[in-house]
Amino acid sequence: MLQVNEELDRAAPPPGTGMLRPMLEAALDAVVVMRADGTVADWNGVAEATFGWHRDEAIGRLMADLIVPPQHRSAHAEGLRRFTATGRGPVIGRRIEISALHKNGREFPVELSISPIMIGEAQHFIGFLRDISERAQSDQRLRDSEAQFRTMADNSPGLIWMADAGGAIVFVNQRYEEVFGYPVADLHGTGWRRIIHPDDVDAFHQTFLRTVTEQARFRTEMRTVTRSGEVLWLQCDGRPRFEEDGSFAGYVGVNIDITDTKQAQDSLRVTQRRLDAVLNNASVSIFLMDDKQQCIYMNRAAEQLTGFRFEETRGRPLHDVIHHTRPDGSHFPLHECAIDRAFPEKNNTRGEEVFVHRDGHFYPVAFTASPVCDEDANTVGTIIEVQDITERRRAENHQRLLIDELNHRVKNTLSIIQGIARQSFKGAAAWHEAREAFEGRLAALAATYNLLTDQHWDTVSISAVIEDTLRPFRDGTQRFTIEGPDLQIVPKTAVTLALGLNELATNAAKYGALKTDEGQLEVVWRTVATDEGERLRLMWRESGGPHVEQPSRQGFGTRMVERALAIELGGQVRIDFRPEGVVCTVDAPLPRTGA
Amino acid sequence: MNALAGKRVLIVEDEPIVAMMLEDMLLDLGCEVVASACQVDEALNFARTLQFDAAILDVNIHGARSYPVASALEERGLPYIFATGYGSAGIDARLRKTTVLQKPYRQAQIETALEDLLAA
Repeated sequence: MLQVNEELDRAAPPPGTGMLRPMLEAALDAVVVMRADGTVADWNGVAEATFGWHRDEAIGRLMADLIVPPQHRSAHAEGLRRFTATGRGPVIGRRIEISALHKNGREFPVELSISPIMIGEAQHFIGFLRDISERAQSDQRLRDSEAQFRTMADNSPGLIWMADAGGAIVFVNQRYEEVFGYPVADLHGTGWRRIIHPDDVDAFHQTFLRTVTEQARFRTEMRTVTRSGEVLWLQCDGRPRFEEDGSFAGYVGVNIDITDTKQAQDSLRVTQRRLDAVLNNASVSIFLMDDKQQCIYMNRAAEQLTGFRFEETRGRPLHDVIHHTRPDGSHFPLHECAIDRAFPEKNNTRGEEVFVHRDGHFYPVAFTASPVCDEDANTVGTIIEVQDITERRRAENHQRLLIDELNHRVKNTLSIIQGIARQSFKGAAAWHEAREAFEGRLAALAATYNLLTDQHWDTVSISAVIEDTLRPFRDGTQRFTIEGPDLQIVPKTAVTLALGLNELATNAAKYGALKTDEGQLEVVWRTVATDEGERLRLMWRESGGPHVEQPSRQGFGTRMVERALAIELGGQVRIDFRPEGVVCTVDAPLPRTGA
Repeated sequence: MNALAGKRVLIVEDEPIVAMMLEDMLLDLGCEVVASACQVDEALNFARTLQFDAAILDVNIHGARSYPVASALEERGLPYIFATGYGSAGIDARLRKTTVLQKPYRQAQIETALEDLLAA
């Protein structure tokens, strides 16, 4: 049988296949015609190219030997036997993918379909085979690339998702499971609803579906809840994706956890609101300037004070807006301004200045300028607090006028008393001395009043009281030593002290150190800390004058000093008429400085 | 002997007792009081017409300032001093170089001030 066929094949083309030739050669696939005994009856040009066997080599040989890889040959033989016996076979009439063998031994994938065909009386099979190496490779590449995408997506710190054209979720990456605690599959379709905050989920879903119908980009912030109940804020960014043919395919999106940012923003907002409330309700005007001395903030009080809105001062040197002209109309250059020196000199600067209102009028202000420093202690700006002191100034001026007037009247009255005394004690020589002493006392009182007037009847410096009281007794020669810390004392204490010192000085001028050119007077004081608190120790010491005798009786002067001054100071005052000079000592609690 | 002996002085003072005292002090110093005015008008008249060497002006004359009198004296080149119950800060800034005696003043202060004024 085999031999007969071989002879037949070699002799001529098989009868009946002649009409197939043109079809075989026109086919795009490799076409192999096989006899029932498994030998090749015909073989077209594509088959020659695909399998490497020339038609002449192939015809008459067992097809299995030519193109079926050895491991499949028994299955091939079995299939052929079964078809011959039953007329049925697993590969008949189907397209299957299978490995084929090239003449050079290389195996490659082919797509195969086989049809039984009768040529003349003889059963034949015609097989169409297509080399699908390239398709198989590209399928493999696709699988590889999909696997790569998954690996990438699942290892991404971002939350990656995909939706189909209907808005159903078809993919979420592994990160979702890590973050939210649900299996990835639970979030597919509309399963993702479980991670949206219950208060937001319906509105969110609607918004998403509407965006899907518009095929628009989907950007939003979303409040989500993990399986353990933790609330996370996500920044969602989904972009529509399209198939190669341009049809809408759905979305691909990335969500980022912005909970920390959100919380920082919230806390910043709260702080900001609180700060605004404080600043805008403050009665003091507050300006903030940057390192170029340009205004970067004004509170409401500052706007009211200056007449300018912040928008009008923003980015301008504040000085040029509200402080550019002196009250005398002359230009006030920035570099001479004490307020602006707070920045370059890095110190708090306080003071009083006169600003120019938007409408042109001048108004007095008190200011504090403090540098603003960054974390590295670099000065980056200045904060300026300003208070309108127009009212205070007016009140001060009024008070000044009243005090001046009071002083004037008091001293006029003292002058009148002096005049009355002069008239009353006119003539008698014995009264001359008394009148002199009286006028001295009035003068001491008046001098202290002057001092107090200068200080608005507030406290006054003890040094000034002593200096002013002794001034009439100084005659230019340097024999006075007046030394001590500059304590502040209340007006009543000042008056009593002045009258006491006047008595001592008058006595010294008449009998003691101030009577001669050689005499010395020392008035020194200091404060001493004791168990009973701080005390004032003051000493009056004369020296170099005439020999001093104990006075026979206690006059007004001595009583004034030892009693009145002691009572006023609440301490001990003692006069020693030492032969070498009078010494008076005061030991008293530190005088009160409060009113 | 006394530098002030025979010097003629004009007094402007609205308080009679103080004016009397000042007269006494000037007399004690050997001066002659040419007139004692207690009104600004009167003082202005004296300042423009009388012959004298110096004047002592109270600043506040019945609530008015005696500055016009000072101006009239300056026009004639006659020296003067102020006496006031206000501090020297109460004197108009233009006139602050003028000697200001604080009330109540003593005879010795008048003496020194007049001597300095007439020596200048």
